[in-house]
Amino acid sequence: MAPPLTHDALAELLGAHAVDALDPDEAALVDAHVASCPRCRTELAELREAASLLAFSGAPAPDGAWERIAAALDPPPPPVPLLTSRRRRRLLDRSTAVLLAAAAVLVAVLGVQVVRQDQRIDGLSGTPVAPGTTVHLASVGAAHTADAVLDAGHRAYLVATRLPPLVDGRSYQLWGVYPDGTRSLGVLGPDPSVIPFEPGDNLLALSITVERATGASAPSGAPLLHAVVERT
Amino acid sequence: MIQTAARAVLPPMTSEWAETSDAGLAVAIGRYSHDALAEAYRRHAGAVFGLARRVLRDQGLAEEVTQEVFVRLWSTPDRFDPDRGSLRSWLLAQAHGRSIDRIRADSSRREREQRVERETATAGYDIEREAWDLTVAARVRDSLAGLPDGERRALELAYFEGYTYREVAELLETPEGTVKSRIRSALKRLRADLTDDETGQPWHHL
Repeated sequence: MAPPLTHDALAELLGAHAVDALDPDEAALVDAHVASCPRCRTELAELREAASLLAFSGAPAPDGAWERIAAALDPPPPPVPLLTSRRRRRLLDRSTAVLLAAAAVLVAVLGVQVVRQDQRIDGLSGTPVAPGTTVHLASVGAAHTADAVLDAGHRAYLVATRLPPLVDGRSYQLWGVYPDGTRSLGVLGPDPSVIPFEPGDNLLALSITVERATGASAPSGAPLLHAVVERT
Repeated sequence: MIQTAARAVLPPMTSEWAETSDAGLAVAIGRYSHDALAEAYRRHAGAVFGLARRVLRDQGLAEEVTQEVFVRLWSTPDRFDPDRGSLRSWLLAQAHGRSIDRIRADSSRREREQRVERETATAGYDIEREAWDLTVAARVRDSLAGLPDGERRALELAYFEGYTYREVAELLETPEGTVKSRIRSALKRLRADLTDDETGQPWHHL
């Protein structure tokens, strides 16, 4: 494996990235870097803005395209009852039983095995995730992977680098598993790259499932990717 | 389907949406407002389509890309983050990325070259280039023309012709590192040239 690129080497790729002129591997590296480097994030946005100035200014939209777009739009989904009680998330002095229950939720709701469950339990007792922690999500066999970078604040970024393309009408959806249940952290679209999300407190695990394009209120099947959040 | 069929015609512009900022439109689109999406389409679809056609050299493919970009805005509006740039540049970046993906798919590059050759053979000149010259603002054209030659050529080959910087390096017989820096530097110059110093806004927003 090549040595990791330095900040400057990655920054040097920003211009080419802004005009989609990187190879996929390099693009993924830059996306991952940009997710955790505000300065490069700003520069990339500025360079993309500059590139967009080169586009046509006054060309008319093609006839009939709107009709096809309107016909392809998903109807609004029914109201989604996500975790209703935020108060319950402040579980003081959480016992092992609660954590085991959370692990059971994982298995029951998502249909996955909690890997290294024993190691997890002791480490979960309310320790905050270290800022800048990267969580590696992987499918069974690790053919598909994505990274979640958890920032110091309440922001986090999903850097999805190796997800298979989806058929029309399907979308990836990110789920957070908490002591009191599973919550949607965002509908990612069929081809996610870098996606900000807000994990909140007490995140135990992250999962990605395939859902319909507008998203689902609960995971409809086993996750494609999954990771337990490491505590320090 | 009844619901969408009734909406098939681009709804008339209403003053409510005509006066809403792009960021406001994005929020409304997130709340499933068809009219807000229609307004975003009205404002930006021409540029999105124009860019896709310039890159792809194909009307049908460019329409497909345009459709995808707006359907995607509808289905995942939170992918657009107003803190990280304008809606216009986001839509255009999407259109560009999707057009490039198509070119880079196996054998598509050759098909594109053939389309360009056919066009040039029948019309005697590069139609898309001509169209771009006619519609892009003079200020942008001048700014591009004012770039150092090496920077301009590297940027044009990458942005309009869809080559990777490695391919550009080969085409121009220039080291890859130089091409990387030139593309970055060209974009920075354009930005400095075309952005209002006081507000930081691109000139077309002024």
